[in-house]
Amino acid sequence: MDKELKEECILVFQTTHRTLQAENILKKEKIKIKIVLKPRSITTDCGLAIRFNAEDKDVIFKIIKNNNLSLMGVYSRSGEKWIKL
Amino acid sequence: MVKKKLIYLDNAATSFPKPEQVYQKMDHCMRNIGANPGRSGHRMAIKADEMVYNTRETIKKLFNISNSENIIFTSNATIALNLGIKGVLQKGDEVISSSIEHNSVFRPLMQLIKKGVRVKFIPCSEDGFLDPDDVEKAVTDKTKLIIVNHASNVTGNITPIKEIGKIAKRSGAIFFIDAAQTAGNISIDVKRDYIDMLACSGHKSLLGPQGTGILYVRPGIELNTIIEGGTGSSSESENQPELLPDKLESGTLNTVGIVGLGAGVDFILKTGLDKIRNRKVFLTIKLLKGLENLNGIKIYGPGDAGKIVPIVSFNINSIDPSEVGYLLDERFGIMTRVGLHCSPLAHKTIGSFPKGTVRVSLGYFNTEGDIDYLINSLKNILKTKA
Repeated sequence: MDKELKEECILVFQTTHRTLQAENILKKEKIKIKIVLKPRSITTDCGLAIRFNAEDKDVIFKIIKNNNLSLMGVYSRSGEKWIKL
Repeated sequence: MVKKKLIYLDNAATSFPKPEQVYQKMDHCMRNIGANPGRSGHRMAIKADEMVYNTRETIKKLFNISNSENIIFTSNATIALNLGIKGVLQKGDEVISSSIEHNSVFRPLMQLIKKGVRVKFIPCSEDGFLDPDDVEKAVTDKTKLIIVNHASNVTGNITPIKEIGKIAKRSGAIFFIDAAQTAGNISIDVKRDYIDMLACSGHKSLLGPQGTGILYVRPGIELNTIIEGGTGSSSESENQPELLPDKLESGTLNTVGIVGLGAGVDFILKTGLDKIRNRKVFLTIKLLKGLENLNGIKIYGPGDAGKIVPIVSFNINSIDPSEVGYLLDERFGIMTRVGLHCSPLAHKTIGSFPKGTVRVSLGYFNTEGDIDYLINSLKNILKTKA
């Protein structure tokens, strides 16, 4: 699955519960995602984030909006850094 | 003496046995998914997270809760009640409660009275019924919280929560129910019944294991915390996170227990709450009929299976309830609970304080044969004690 996730992007939520809620909804919509650890450079949290393909961004944003999920942030990887989108 | 069969009639203390899937899921979880949810982020921890998440989603369906993040796991109903009561109330606040409360509500309130909270305990009828009209008369625009027992663990009498919920909504008070004896027994819908907060145990009629409890807090109600600590989230902050469930769930969760609770609630949803309720009403009718025919019996509560959860308290002649309980267990292998049932207030209300009663509480897995055997055993005790 990692290979399929070309350009690395992640969705960050405030709680594990909200992350899993989003994961469940996105999986039902057949979006390719993977649960990963939140990068330490974004937050010192011990929590989880959702990795996804950049090309699915618009679809994912629409699903998040339709399901009233409160997103904390979306980040894209650039070398060793994570840039907030 | 002939070795007797064992009959468990103490389901209001904790249900036994549990559905087979509860044992299986817990065993599987403990052997294969032993990691700490919300902490480490490796595959096993994520699996544990998912199992906890799935249980919240299952419970959400049973109570018609909109968002499962408003479901908090606790170690029992008492902790859930304390988190809720002490999270809402501050010095000077006014509370309405009733005279059938269990000590898990009564004692926290008595403690808060010492700290300047004012509590009105509405008297209930002699059969343990809380009349919504009496709540209506007591409520003022200063009432911060109305907390009532949804069904007494002594008489089984079901409180008309929807009517009381309406009163709370009109007055602006928070409506909090102690559903320890009703969750999994009768239908509860947090929207239909105007419930702002609900506390219950996971190990009674929800059929989960001991060490599990639930607190539901409606969105928009911000509780003060009485326990702070590690949540796995916002670790950089000195302060407790504000979001649920993390805010009220510090420390490692009882993952195995929660998985068992999920399996118990799943059993209820798949079997159908109506079917479970009908079965228990059927057994309760048989129990009441059998008891009514005994000489010298005094049955407490309304004596109507439709108005109670499957709990019946009684005394026979002037025999000490402890002796009846002892003889049932020792001679016949029947397990009941005698005494005050942690509810001295309720026993004062129904006139059985301080002696208490013999309490029989039925579960979904009890049979008609169990009830016949109980009644015959009581007849036998009456004969020998006469």
